[in-house]
Amino acid sequence: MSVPKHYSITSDIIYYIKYYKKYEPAVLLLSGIEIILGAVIPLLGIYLPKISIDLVVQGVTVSRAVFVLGLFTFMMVAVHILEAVAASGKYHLYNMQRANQVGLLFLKSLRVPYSYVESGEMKQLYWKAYQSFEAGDWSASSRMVTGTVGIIVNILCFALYSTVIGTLNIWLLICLAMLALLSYMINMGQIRYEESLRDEQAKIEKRRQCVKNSMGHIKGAKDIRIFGMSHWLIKLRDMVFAEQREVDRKFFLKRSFYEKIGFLLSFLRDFGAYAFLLYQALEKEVSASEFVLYFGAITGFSNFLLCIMNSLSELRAAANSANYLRAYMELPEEDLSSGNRHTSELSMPLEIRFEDVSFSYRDASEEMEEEEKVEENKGRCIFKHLNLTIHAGEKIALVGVNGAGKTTLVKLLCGMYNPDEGKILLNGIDRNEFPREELYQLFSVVFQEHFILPFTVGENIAMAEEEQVDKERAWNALLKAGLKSLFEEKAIGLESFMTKKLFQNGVDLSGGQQQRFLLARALYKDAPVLVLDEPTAALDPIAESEVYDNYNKYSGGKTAIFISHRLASTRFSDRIVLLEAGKVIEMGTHDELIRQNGKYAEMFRIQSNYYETGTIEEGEAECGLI
Amino acid sequence: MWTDLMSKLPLREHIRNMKKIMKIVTDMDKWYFFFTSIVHIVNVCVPYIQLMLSAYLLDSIVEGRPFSDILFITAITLVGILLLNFLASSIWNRMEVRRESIYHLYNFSTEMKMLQMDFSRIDSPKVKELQERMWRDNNWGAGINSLFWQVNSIVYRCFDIIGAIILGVPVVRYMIHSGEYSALFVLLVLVVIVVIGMKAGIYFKKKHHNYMFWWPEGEEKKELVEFGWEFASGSGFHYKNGKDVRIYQSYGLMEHWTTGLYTRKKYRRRLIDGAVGFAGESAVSVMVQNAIGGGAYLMVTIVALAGAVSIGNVVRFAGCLQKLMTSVYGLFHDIVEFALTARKQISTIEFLELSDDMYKGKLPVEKRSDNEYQIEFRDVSFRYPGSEQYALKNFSMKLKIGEKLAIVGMNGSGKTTMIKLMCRLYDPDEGEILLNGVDIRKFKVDEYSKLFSVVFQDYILFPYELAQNVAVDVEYDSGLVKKCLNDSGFGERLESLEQGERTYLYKDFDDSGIEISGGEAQKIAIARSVYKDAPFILLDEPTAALDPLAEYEIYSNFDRIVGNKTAIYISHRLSSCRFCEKIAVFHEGKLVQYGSHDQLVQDEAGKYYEMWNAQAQYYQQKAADLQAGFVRKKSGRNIYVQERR
Repeated sequence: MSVPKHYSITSDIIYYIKYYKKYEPAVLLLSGIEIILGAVIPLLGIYLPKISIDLVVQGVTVSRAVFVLGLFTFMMVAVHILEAVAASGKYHLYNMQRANQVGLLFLKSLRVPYSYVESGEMKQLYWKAYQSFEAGDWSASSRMVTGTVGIIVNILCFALYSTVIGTLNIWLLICLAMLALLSYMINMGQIRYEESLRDEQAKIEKRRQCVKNSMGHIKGAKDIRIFGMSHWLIKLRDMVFAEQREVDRKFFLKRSFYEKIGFLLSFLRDFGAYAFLLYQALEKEVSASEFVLYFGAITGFSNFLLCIMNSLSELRAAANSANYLRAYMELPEEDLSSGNRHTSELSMPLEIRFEDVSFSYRDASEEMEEEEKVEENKGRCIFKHLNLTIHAGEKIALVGVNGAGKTTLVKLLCGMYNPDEGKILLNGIDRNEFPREELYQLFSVVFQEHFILPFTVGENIAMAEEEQVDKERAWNALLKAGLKSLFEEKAIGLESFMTKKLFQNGVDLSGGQQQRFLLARALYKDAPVLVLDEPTAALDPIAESEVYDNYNKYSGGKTAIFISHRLASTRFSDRIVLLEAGKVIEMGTHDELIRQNGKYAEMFRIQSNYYETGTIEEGEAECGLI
Repeated sequence: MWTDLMSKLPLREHIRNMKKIMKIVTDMDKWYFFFTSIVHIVNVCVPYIQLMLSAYLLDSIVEGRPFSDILFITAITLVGILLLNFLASSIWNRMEVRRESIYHLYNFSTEMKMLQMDFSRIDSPKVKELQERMWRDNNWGAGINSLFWQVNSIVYRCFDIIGAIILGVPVVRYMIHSGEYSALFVLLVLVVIVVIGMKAGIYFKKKHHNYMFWWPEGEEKKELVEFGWEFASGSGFHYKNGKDVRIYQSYGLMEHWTTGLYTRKKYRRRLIDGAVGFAGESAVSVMVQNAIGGGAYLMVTIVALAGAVSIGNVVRFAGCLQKLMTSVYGLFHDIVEFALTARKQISTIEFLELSDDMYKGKLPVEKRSDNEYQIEFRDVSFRYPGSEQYALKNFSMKLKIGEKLAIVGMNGSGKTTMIKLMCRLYDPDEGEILLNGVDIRKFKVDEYSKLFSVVFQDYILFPYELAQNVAVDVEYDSGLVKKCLNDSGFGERLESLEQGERTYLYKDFDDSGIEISGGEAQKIAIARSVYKDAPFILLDEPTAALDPLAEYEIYSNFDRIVGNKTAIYISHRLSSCRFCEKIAVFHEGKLVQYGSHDQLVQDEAGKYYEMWNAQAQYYQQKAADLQAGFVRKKSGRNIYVQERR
């Protein structure tokens, strides 16, 4: 994917100046100091021998020499110290901002409309932005600083040296500038060549990392051993190593070539400079001390131009990777607060109505959770003119095979997506009339993906920072979810940490307990609408049964939707909605649907076959499996 | 808190560490440092030649020698320098290629170790702790590349010191002869500055490293840990969890645990400390260098004023003195850095030196064309490393040849553990497992594992060519691969692939790779286990996300593919295994029931009945209605076929 918007380097620099002004202004201050002192420092270096020789030639007294050189040395030391403090002192400050930026990028992904999060293109953009931080010190947040400082310092040095040499002989300056231009062009060739290798290097790097990950794959270690995969992986490693060596060889041979051209150019420069200065010196145009000074200036001169160029190349690379970050950070955020009505005017329990709702995903990868047939689903209509009413306080079982659109329905319902056409009405009012933040308060949803954070139990239940956790309510929710006694028995409190990420004694829950934990979260929120999406997939039969019992118990007085491809959930629902290919094909109570003898009856019969008291063969024959 | 890395260590230990790491690196490439040493000699020579040239030129100017003579000597010297530079560049860049190779080879060594270590080790607390340490130790710096820089620098500085002494030593004589003891006094001051610089440098370095290698422990973690990197990278936070964050309006909580850290006072204080440490380190370093630079000129100027040294030699001797002292200071600096680098690699070395504790038998496994292998568990007990609870307790069971056995049980009842023991991923704590009457520990591990084909619950496919995944090798029998893929039901998708079986899976290795769904991955995993053609085939519930009917179909299809091999099927869904002749019921690490479905379901006090009932209850009374009144349609199956295609 190309960068959606092209930003100029200058605008990137301004972006980062603003960024640092906000998060770490000291970086800007220290950069300023570094720039000013950095420009002076090289000059001090070439003046030192000049002063020394001057003193000797003039034959001053020892104390005079000690005074002059001592003072100069002191000045030199002081300037260097200040410059070093400015340069190194800010290193950790800007380096740390990398982590802050990663955090901000992540937080941004929680602020954009949810549809962006699932969209393939945005996911890729996010990913590219994230990867730009994996380069460590070479990430944009660091390189934008060092590159910018580098370029300014070297331009200043270049200007200062030009004046020094210019005072000697303007033609010399012109000659040197030409020579510097020549080496600039040659170096450009080198940089271009190295940039041309970058893709290949990145590819090999990716492959190498991939093989490394495979070899160290902890989850895959069983497969690796049982299938004796190590020789396979080692062969792959050696193949990647061979590719690596090949590209390294190319890279370094070329580098050596350019280095040699560089040596040749400095040979010419040095010889020219010596010849010119010698001639001038022998003609008494310049003194011995000036000879040393100018020679230093001449050799340093061309170096600055190269440094300018390197900084520019560094800056360009940094800007490139910064573009992804900026593009993502500048995405519009979800509008949480605007709306012309308030949910406080709604009477509870809620009635939910899908009115003529049509919806399709914008691109294929949004729909990955439907798993199968991803390719063909692209742009496919998930819902076409769907009408469905869930009465106030009703318990609905939403059933259907994978890909029928059950999860999508939930995402539409709770406001993750907006329908392409039609409306979703809450007590007859279009839900888009309400501010999003109020709308979200209406739903307690347990989604398919278990979401347990490595924070405290209390934070996980309340989904808020620790100070905001209502302790009594949290314990109450745990009690209702059937976890309180277990937690008390194991001495788990609201301050205990979930998972073993932070602490060795962190709380790890089994699959069934996790389900109940998530239920506790939903109960804590105590929203008028309870939605449970496929809660039992990974559970053994007894745990599954318990989950159903629990959910049923606490959905009283709420509008509730249970989603499952197991028909068992229909046991405690007021009404069953059978979804197929985005359409409600059957609806009614269990008995009604059985009487209709349609799809639902078939599905039910197939699933129940196993549990009829018949022989195995009979059961299989009925299913048409043999 | 001081980390391990910064604690005091006796010099002997440091030397041992440095030797160890040097040995590992030089074993990988014996000649690297030999050749780079040549480069260093050249690199040391060139600046001295330049110094000598400057000195010569200055003296020539003062003495007014003829222009052409001077120019001739200048030209020759510069050509010499040019050639030396050419030589150094050629060697150095060739060595860079080798350095890269060593670097990668070294970086792979931990993974190579992981390929070879006992499986039981991989997940052990000891290994995890070491990995954690390795990760922390390598958190800053360039890993083993630091070693190359430092060792090269040390070698360079040694040569540099030698050069400076040879060329600079006459100045000492002049100094003493000139009678200007103030020059000696300057030297003394410089030595003091160097010593102070060393001490101060160490002080700041510690402060700096204390920041870099500090890690919050215990209670501090609550305040000083953040999850930004982890969440952003997708581990620990799936992008789909964004739904929960929005619905539960927990942006504030997420902020607290990510960027919130960076504004916390405690954190800021530490950061400033680190910044000051690094600033101090650099400041001390430039202070010493520049004091040396200025001091060297001062000394030589004093001597020159006494008339002992020519103007040209001012430049020469000042240069030599400057280089001498800078190199001594730098050498000290490099050695300290190198010791630290070596120390950072100790965790890696420890990891590489981990010994295996599983007994490695020597007995070859008899190859039997009739596949007459029998496995017996005899009173086996087993606990996972670091766990108190027995995963299996006094477990006994015999696997008959050609049998189709189903193992059912609740989560955590020891089903998977039994498989792992059987494949010798772990050794039992008590009891023994026998293959045809011989303890399996006596067999060669690699030969023994050839007996088993397993599709684990959490099987992994690797992001390489499809066919390679099936054959687990770079070379493979293309026809057989296709046949296995066809048998497992992947045939249709295979035909639709442009690159056929050479298609890459996923995009991690090659951008042309394809994404596959969970169902497809499973088919490939099954094809892999079929390709192996092992006498024992085990299927460990690789289908958790599928509905019961789909799972049943996969199992029975698999059963058809494997033919009459000994096969074991594991599931917590009783329905999946109904084609098996025998069912073993596991509960809390024991075999509690064994028999056919019909036998087991009779025993109303048994676990099987309980599980069966838990699943069946929803259907029972309603099923009665069905049977009473409605005709059954065979077409019902299509619903599921659609879903799994």
